[in-house]
Amino acid sequence: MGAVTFSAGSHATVSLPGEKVVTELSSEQEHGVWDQAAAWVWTKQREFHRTLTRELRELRSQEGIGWMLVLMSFLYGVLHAAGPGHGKAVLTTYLLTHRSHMNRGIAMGTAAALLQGVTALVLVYGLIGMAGWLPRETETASLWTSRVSFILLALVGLYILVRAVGALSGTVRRLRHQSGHAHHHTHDHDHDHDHDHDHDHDHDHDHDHDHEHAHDHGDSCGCRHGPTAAEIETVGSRHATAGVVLAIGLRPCSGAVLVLILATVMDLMWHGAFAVLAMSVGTAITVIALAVLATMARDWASAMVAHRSPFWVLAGGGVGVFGGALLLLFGLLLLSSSFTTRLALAG
Amino acid sequence: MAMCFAPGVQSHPHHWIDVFAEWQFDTKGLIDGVKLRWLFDDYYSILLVDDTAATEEKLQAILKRVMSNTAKHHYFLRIENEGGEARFGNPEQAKIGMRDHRVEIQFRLPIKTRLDPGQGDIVYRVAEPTYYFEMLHAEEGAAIVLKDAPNGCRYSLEPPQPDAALVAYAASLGVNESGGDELGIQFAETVTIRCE
Repeated sequence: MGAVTFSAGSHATVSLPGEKVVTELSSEQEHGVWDQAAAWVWTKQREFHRTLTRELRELRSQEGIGWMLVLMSFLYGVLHAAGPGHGKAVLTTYLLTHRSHMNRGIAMGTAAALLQGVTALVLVYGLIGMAGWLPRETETASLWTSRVSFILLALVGLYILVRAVGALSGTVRRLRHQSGHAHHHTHDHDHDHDHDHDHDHDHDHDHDHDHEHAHDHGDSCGCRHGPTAAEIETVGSRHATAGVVLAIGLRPCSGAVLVLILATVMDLMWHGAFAVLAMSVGTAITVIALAVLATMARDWASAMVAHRSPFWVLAGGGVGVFGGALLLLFGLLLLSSSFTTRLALAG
Repeated sequence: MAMCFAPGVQSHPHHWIDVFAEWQFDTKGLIDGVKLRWLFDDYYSILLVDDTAATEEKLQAILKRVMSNTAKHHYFLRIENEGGEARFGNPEQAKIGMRDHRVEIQFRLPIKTRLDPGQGDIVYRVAEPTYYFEMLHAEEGAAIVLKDAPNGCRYSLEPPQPDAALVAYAASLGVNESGGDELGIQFAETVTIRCE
């Protein structure tokens, strides 16, 4: 208990509205940077929840466009997206492990952020406003869309994981093959193995050319997977892109649900819709910044890989395996914990 | 409840209660009871009673539940007096109602052994133990009133100062997780009442 300061009021029973004595923070302890950052984001978020509630409450009793609400919602969107979360985890992992243009990352981030706002609007306005649900039932509905998003999160994780494991084992095989090439005696053995493998896909290969083509052959088999695999890759990648956007977008933002439910009950539907739109724009800005960073990091890393350093190739695969596994685990964890969620009453 | 990109929102606290406390002094200048008023946040209120659908019957059922639940947690109030903790009698005049579309619960807690703020500081904290709810004295209106107090009685309020690690920990707790019954108190304001 630090310093105790007494109120300046001359009479005991006279306490000024909001009278609070703020004592100076005397013992500023050292904390982990992470804790500091998390605490800051969380504290801000909590303040935003209160501010948004207050702005809506004030709009209820007085006419106005509510620019303050829109501005606060926008800032909330920017900040909210800056916190740690599954949305950013999945987008970052995807962009780090997939060669893609800057535009694609930006488009994905924008689509996901806007979809999130739309999900909230459809859930709250659609269910309460049109289908006559009770506000608390909307929470149940948003829980269900969240579950779908968790499943998608796990699936995208699985896809990235499988893909990275495939690429890694291919790389390992190629590396082994290369080192085998140095020792001429083991070469034949390796080649036979690869040859069998490739035979299914590629009938053009001549059996006569064994020795001269040996190296290229192995390389194509282990690393590039041939044109058929590339086609599969594109389709899988397209699905994964949609998966990423949906995994993020189907999870309505709690701030958006809060604002919309309050707005419904308070008869401020338009204000609520604009606020959520502003929130989505704010979220999009942060997510786009993240997508740009991830794409740049990926480009930088693939420039390193271009030097064919085995370490970088393996490290790249490692990121995919680790990130994919993490997303898979994250998705399953969130899914299982979502089944124990309920509404609590005081005490 | 769901969130944007951060699991942070699922974290504690989920809701908040604005607290009003009226400390009642007897003719000898001793505190013999406190009238507490809890004003729940708009969102929680809507979730709890579906606003317009709030019937008297429904509200009374909620009141009954809340009172019996909170009885196990000394009504979210802890008073320190000369090293000991003050004990309460059964709550009186418990009421529930809607104020500006928010659920409001109020009741008076009689204090068994009267407190003498002239003899030593009376220090109290209000907290919901698990920090599912954040309980702070209201910023609007007279949140703390020293009713019929003798001249020279003052109070002071010290804001909570949880360290970052604790805040981060609370933020990491999901809706259904609990950080134990000692979490809330660490996020509580400390109010001191003293008479000179």
